[in-house]
Amino acid sequence: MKKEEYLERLKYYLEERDFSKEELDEIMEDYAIMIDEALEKDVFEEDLMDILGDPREISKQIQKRVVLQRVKSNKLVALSPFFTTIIFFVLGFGFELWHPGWMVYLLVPMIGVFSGRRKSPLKHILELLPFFTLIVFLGIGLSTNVWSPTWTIFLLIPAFRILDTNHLNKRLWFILFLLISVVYVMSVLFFPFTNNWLMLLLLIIPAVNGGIIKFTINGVHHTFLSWNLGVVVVTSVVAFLLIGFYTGYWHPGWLVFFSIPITTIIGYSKVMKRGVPLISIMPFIATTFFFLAGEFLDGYLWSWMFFFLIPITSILKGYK
Amino acid sequence: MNAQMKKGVVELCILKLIEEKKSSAFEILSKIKTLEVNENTIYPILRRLKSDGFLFQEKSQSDVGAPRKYYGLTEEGKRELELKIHEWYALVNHVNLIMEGKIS
Repeated sequence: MKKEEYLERLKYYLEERDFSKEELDEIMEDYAIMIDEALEKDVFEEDLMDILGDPREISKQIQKRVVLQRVKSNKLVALSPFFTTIIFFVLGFGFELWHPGWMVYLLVPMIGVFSGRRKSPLKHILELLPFFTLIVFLGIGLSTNVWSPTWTIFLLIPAFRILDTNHLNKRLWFILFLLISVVYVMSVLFFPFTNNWLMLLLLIIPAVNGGIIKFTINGVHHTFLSWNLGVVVVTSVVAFLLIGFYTGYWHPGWLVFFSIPITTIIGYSKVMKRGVPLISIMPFIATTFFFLAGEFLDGYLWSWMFFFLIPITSILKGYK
Repeated sequence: MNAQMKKGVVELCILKLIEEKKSSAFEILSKIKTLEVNENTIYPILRRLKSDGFLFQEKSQSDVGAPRKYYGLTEEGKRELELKIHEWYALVNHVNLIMEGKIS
C-alpha cells in the first residue's frame, strides 16, 4: 500500500471515531513521519501494512484509551437502556402506548452521541440527524398518515453533510440543496403536477458539487463497489417512488433504503476479505421485520420483539 | 503468553528501551517486534504512556531525510519504569521458585 493510500485510510478511520481535530492531526503527523522513516530504512511500500499495522485496527486501539477517559459519561450510556425500558413499560402498561412508545429506544443511541467528546457542533448535528429525522418522520407519518412529502425530512441528512466537506462554496450548495427540496415539498402541497418528483433529480447538482457523492468507499477508491453502490442507490430511490406512487405504501416502503447501508457493509467486507459482520446488519433486518410484521400482520404489539435479534446476535457472535 | 500478561511486558519493554535511548515510534516498533507483539497496538500504547505523563515527544530535524519525532522518559516515567522493573523481578523470582519446586 502506498504512503498516501495508507494515510488516507488511516484518516478515514480516525474521522469515524471520537478524536478531536488536534488529536487527529497529531496522529496523522506521527504516522507520516513513521512511514518516511520506514521507507528510508528500506521498507517496501507494499509492506507498510505488515510493519506499521492495519489503519482500522490502529484507530480502534487508539480510541480504547479515549473511551477510558469517558467512564463517567459511559455510565449514563450504560444505564440508558434500563431507563428507556422503564419508560417503555410505563407508556405500554399505563397508557396502552406500546406503539409508538417503542420510539423511546431511539434515546439510547442519542444519549451515546451526546456523551461523546466530538469535534464540533456540526458533528453532533450530523450524528443526531438520522434519529431526529426518523422521529419526526414517524411522528408525523403515524399521527397524520401523511408519509409523502414527510419523507423529505431525510434530505436534511445529505444537506448537512455538504457543510461537513472541505469544498469551496459549500454553503451555496447547501442552500441550493435545501431550496430544491423545499420547492419540491411546496409543489406537492400547493401546486402538484404529474411527475413533479423528477425535480428531485436536480439534487444531484449540489450533491456532486458539494462533495457528498464521491466514488470512494471508506476513504479508498474502489470502482466496482462504487458502481454497485450507485446502482443500489438509484434502484432504491426508483423502487421507493414506484412503491409510493403505485401502492401508496410510502411507509413502510422507505425500508428499501436500508439496502444502501447493507450493500456498503457487505461490499466493504468482501473488499477487505472479511466475513460479513452480521451484528452491523442486524439492526436493519430487525427494523425491517418490525415494520413489515407491524404493518401487514397488524403485529406492532409483538413485532418489537424482533429488536431482540440485535443483542442475541451480539451475544452469539461475542461467544464465537 | 496471554494478551493481558503480554500487555504489561510490552509497556515495561517500551519504557526500558526509551530509557536507554530516546527513540522514534518506528525504532520501538522494530525492536519490540521480536516479542511477537501485534503491531497495531504499539503506537496506541505509546500514546497512552505519553498522555499518562510517562513519556514526552520531541521533534527534531534530521540532517539527512525527513524530520523525526523521538520519545523520551519524563521523571514520572522513570519512577514508573523503576516500579515496573521491581514488579517484574518480583514476579519472575516468584515464578522461578515455584518452577524449581521451592515453594510447596
